[in-house]
Amino acid sequence: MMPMPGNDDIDRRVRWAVYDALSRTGDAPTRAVLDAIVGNASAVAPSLRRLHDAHALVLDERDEVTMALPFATRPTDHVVMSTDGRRWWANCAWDALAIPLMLDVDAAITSRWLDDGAPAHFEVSNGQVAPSAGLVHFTRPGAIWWDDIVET
Amino acid sequence: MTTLFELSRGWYAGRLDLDFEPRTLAESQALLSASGFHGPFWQLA
Repeated sequence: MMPMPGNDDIDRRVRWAVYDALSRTGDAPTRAVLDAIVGNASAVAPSLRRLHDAHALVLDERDEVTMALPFATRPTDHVVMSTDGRRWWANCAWDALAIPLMLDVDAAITSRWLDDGAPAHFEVSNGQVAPSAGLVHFTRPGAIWWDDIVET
Repeated sequence: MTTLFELSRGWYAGRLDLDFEPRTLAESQALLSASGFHGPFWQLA
């Protein structure tokens, strides 16, 4: 008989499954996919809650994954398009810059300038971002980033 | 922007791995400092 996996093992597999799906497809895995990976549907929701509490991902008010930094699971103003046609949403400009690096892909980033709302475009190629005069503005100090990570 | 881009290399390293272990607060603070993010605004705790 196989031993029952502990919470740490379940959390490890759930976290990885979320990141794996997001990195490959740009979309979060369905609950059915997570259920299949864990092999115990009743274990997934508690695992997602533990991962949320540990800041490993972020759940929304419906307990669905809304962020797995740097990925967003819903449309945002920060869009990363790889040269092979894949699309990811990012939570902020920083996350948009991070996604091509993390996935080791060349990509075009579309974001929005904070001062006038105009579209902002950046290119990442061969692990380097093309020079830009733009600045990334942090509105909240680091000590309170996780007080409200969605707002941060 | 380039500074933040370079910070991302370490900040998100390993996150796609099955055995990824979250950084400690001190490790995150060290990454910020190494990239030039100093001062009270960048203190994580």
